Amino acid sequence: MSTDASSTRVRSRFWVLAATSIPLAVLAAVALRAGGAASFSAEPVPFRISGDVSGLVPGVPADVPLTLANPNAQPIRVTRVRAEIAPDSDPPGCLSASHVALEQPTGITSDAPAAVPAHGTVVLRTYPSAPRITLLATASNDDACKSTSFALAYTGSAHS
Amino acid sequence: MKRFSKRTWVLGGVAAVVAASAIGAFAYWTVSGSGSGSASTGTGNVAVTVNQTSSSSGLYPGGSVGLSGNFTNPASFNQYVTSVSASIQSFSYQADNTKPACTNGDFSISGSPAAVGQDVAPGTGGSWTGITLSMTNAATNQDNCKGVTVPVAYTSN
Repeated sequence: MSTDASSTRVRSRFWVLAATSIPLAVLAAVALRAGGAASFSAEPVPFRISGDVSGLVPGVPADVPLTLANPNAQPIRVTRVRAEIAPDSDPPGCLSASHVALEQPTGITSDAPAAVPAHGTVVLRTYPSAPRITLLATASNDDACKSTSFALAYTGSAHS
Repeated sequence: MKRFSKRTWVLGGVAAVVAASAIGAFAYWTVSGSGSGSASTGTGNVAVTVNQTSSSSGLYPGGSVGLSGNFTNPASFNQYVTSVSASIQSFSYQADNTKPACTNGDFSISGSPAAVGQDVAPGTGGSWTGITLSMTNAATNQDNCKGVTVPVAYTSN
């Protein structure tokens, strides 16, 4: 075997090794920058939204503080949250359609998302980042609305 | 036709992977959220004060005077008043002890409870009427009732 042929084979192996190891190294670097190899490949799970308000009285708006909990290993940006009064939760004699005004948290948008850290929580305390609810002051007797409650259901969307 | 060298292929492959990684770095995943909560109402038990604004002076035996007034709602929210009730408080007044004492028995209330049916805003407002205070025309001397102020208590619901 000639020296030239041996040298050519060595160079060839070098380039093959380079062709396989460099891309792997680049991929590893990208994964680490994203927060760790394990979390990078993990399937995201839904974030949780919760929030209660009490002491509603007729004609007085009340903010509903919302807690956004992110169970993922990645930070998320919540871009939309919506609240609604859960169907069939109206107390007898106090229909939500005629006795409650619910304003959506329109302050949370794609342009103004709420950042939630990995495995962390964020509380949105005031409208318009949080929903606002008002027990309407009607001209009729609303005693059926005293000391009762409506169930609230939340939905939202986010991205990493 | 010119063939690409190994070096060219390798550099091209590396460039392709780096480009793909860069694209991946700009991509993101989306995730939904959901949850629940509750909105509870208060007891609303802030007492509304019933005010009498009409004058009840000038009563005489067998006479009567209509009572009317408004409300003071100390709460920060509207409160609905269904009706107003009035009652005469127990009292006895005997300035001249040679004559019978003037008591609550010399007076009577009618028209109570009076229907209101108003949503009263915070502060003083609304109105009520329909209750009458009368002085009985007794067979006994009622001089001790002259100049007496009859205590009337009001409640609302």
